[in-house]
Amino acid sequence: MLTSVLVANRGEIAVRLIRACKGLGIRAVAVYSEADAGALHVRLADEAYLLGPAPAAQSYLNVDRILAVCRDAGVEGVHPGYGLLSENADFAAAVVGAGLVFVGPEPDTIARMGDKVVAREAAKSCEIPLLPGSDGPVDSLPAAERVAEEIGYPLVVKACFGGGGRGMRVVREARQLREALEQAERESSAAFGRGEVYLERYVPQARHVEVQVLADGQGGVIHLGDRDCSVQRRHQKLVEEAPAPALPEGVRRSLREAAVRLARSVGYRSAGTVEFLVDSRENHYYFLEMNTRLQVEHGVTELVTGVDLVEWQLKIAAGEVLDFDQDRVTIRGHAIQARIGAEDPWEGFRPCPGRIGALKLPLGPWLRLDFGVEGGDDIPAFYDAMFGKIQAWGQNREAARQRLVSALHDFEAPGVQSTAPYLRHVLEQSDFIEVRHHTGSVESSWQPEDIERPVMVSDAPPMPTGKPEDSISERRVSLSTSRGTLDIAVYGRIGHSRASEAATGAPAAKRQSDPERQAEPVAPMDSTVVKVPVAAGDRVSKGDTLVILEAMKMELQITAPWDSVVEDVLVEVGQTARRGARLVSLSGKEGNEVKPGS
Amino acid sequence: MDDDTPKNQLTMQSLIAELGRRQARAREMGGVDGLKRHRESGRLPVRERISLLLDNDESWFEIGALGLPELRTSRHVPGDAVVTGFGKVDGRRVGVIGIDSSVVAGTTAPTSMRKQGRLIEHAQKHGFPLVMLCDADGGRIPDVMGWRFSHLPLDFKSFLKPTDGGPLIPRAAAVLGPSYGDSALHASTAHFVVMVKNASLALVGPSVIESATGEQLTDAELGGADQALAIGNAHMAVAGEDDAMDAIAAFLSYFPANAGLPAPAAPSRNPAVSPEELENIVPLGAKAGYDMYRVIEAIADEASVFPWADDWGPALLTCFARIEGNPVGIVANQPMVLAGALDAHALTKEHDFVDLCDSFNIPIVFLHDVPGLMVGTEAEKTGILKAYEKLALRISEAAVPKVGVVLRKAYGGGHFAMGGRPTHPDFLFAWPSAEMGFMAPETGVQTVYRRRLEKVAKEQGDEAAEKLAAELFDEWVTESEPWEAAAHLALDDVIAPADTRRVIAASLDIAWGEHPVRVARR
Repeated sequence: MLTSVLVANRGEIAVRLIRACKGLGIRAVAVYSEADAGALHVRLADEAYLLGPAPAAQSYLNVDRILAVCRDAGVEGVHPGYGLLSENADFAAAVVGAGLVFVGPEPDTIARMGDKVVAREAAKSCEIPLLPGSDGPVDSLPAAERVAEEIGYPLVVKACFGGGGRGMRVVREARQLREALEQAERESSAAFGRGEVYLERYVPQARHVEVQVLADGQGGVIHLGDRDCSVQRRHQKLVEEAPAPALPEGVRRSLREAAVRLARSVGYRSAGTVEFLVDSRENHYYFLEMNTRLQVEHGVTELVTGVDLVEWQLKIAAGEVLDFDQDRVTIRGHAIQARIGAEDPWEGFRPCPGRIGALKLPLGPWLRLDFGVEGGDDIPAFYDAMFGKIQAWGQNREAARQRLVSALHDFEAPGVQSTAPYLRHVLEQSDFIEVRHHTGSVESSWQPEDIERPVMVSDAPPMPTGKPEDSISERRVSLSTSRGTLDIAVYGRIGHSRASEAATGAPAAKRQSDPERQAEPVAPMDSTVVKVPVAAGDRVSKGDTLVILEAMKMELQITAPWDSVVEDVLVEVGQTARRGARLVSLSGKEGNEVKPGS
Repeated sequence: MDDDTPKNQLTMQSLIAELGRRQARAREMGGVDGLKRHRESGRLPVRERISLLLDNDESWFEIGALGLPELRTSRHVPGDAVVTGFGKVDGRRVGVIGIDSSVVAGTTAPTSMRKQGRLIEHAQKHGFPLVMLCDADGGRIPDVMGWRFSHLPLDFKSFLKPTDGGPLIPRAAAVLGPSYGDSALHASTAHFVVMVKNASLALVGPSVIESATGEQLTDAELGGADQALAIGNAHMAVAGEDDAMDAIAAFLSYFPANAGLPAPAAPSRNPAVSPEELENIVPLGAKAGYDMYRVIEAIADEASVFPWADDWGPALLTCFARIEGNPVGIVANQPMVLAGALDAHALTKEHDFVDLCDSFNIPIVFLHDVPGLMVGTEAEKTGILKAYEKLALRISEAAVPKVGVVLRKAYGGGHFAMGGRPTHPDFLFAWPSAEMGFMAPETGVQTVYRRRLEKVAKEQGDEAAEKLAAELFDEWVTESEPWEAAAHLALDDVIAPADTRRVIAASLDIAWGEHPVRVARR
């Protein structure tokens, strides 16, 4: 077994990995950025090293620095977690090149599966059904048009080296193809450094089902059942469950076998996931891609199989072989996970980083909580907004669902707006309960606007403490002074944002504005609509005027915050628009979320 | 602006791009080489120091970043070698002045002075603490030469106190490198100065001294931590810069944002040492020493004791602490040093501490175990007479609640210097082990009855004189016991040691009464 591992990640997954290391007696070394100094994963680790400034590119994605820390800390292995560098073949190769163990597959496997076209080839040779599409990258509009004629519309333009929904465009008719190609290429180049795209048929109302595989690289390849991750918003998963519900047994068996076949054929090692689209109306399934890492949703599989995936990743990395075979894997009950993010579903899932006050985690039987923070910790603006996951297990799906609903009800994270209330609502939808939902349900049917927005806890009067300070934070400092070490409890103030609340009416935690994070335009004040130069279906570029408002004898131009298509105009000339009212609905802005996971 | 962009082709985009370029350049500090040298000297760049100090970078709001020297040379001096702005420390807003010694050694010049002055005015006007990160080598030459010196934009009036009659604000300084001249003056205005061990703090640096007086000194010999602590120029020395920032955060946690607000309460915590232990910690008998911090640990909340200037006049302890969650300033004798006898350094320190507590609504607790004031030529040379009188007046005038407890000895001027009855304590208590009077019995009998005892020895023999001395001694001791003091209401009560924490907490609560703020505008 390895004796020391560097956890090249942050947040809840770093905490999860560090705990696994501790369970195995492995020295866990954390790394952190300046924004994460004192974060929970830093506090839990046996040692922690500063990588650099807050932006991920200068810290968690800084390969040279991470390798230098590996040397300084003298670790034997590196676990990349998910997101960040986990599917970066160059990083994996650099780790191996430095004589260290990379906890994951071979760098070459990562590179091959990371190339969507190569991955499709591999699936094809394993006789896994593929969506009709281009057999390789399309390099010109005429070529794309030829392929598009063959596979038909709607289709999707995808980045060969993309992931997490970035560099992806749905094209519903031929005239949209050129722009979708350009956008996807542009986005993919910006995000992944490679602009190649390919085409695939788009299946509306499909479900996302995936199979967890585990391989020891020495011949042992098994699957650990399937998961359904159809509750998504803009290709970002929100709720995941295991096993995938309401799947015909034939399809389920076939999916699982296909996943094992593929893993075996590429010589896979470690934990991996093969993703499929399931057209539930026709019970067809298609290969989507293979993720060569641990998934955010690995916990639900652990709950229903009792297999600790992280522990096995570490064991396999150390050269151990699987000590059980497929027959010993049984799926027991059902587990559902809700991803808790510091996002405001009522403002276009806008991230709202800040300091969490008295975090209240639900307690109860059959729950599993993976969190990267404790009360009083910060959620920095620099990284993914997800700061924890709540999972519930039940004898059957309905029991698990009810437990998760109740857990989400008990969850409180004062100081930030979280996805918990919205996801609780999703779990109560009849389409979800009866498994009629699909990957578009969040956007088409489960609009947050239809749900009453809960009051942010910090908006409510603080709990009376009988003390002059409304809300008190506490930390310990240890001072090495000329007269020995002093331990002092330092109390601070939380949520004291008199100035900002008075000035903006909004809690301080939400003041951060990132131009990339803008939601759809709204009326900035009570005003009258004087002109609407766009109509539904129009394509608009960033900066184009959408609506002209007049207030206090002043004209206000409301412009498009990103290149998009006007889906709907929600106001008409002469109408009064209240402050905060939505004016037009724009097609999705993909590619701006910086998500380490999928 | 790029030179090849004609002015008539300016666009908002080009101007915004220019802004971005200038803002980035304003944050270069000493540049690659300057920062490398700076780091190699074991110091952090000023912007990293600020990050270390603040809760998070999002709270940082900088002003004056585009400041540049009045006297320009080819040398780029970003922000004129000082960074000024606002941020949060444990949720508390602070104004921050950070000297950038990675460029031109952090020396001051008119622009940097204006920036600092403006920041200080903001903090004072808007009523929040000021944190100064000091690390600089005096004024910049030639920027402050000749007529420029007398014309410097330095205003002592607005520099040291709010000019609008507003409340005082707490000031904390970290001395993080060689700090001379302006930087040292800044630190000397602070209510709390923490320095890292290898920093130094003095009026001027060794190079100036050598040319002025010929004395050759290293930084450490001149103003190293030992020197600075012994004279009270600094109040604490710590191992590293991160400790220094934590020390500032801890210091500020006892203070209101300004003198117009009550000091911040925290949840009550049990003491680290059980109050029941007090009766075992303090030995009977005037000659046995003990560590007064052990007593404080059994009275104050656990992990709340924050020493202030331990090495300056160390026969007296001054520290901040919390009792049942409420901040207090504790003044206590340290029997381990000079048996607790007070010298001029200790009295001056106490004066400053009492002034600090009284300025910021922090009540004062006096723990007496004092044999008296230091006497002798050395004591007189260091000005003990004036130091004593000045202190006694300051305690008397302090408007915050004042509570005294006599643990053991409380003799003479030492007793008054510890907030004895003539200095108007709100409450004065004693343990049954207390001894009080103008002088300790042994010396007292020999001083007061010397002639009488000599006469008896001469007329009736030594044995009779010894018998009389013993009688007089017993009488003296009896009169020194707390019972008579309580009988004559010099004491409000005699209490069991184990009750000390409870009695102090209750007394302070009563003494606050219904006036949560006690700041006299001075």
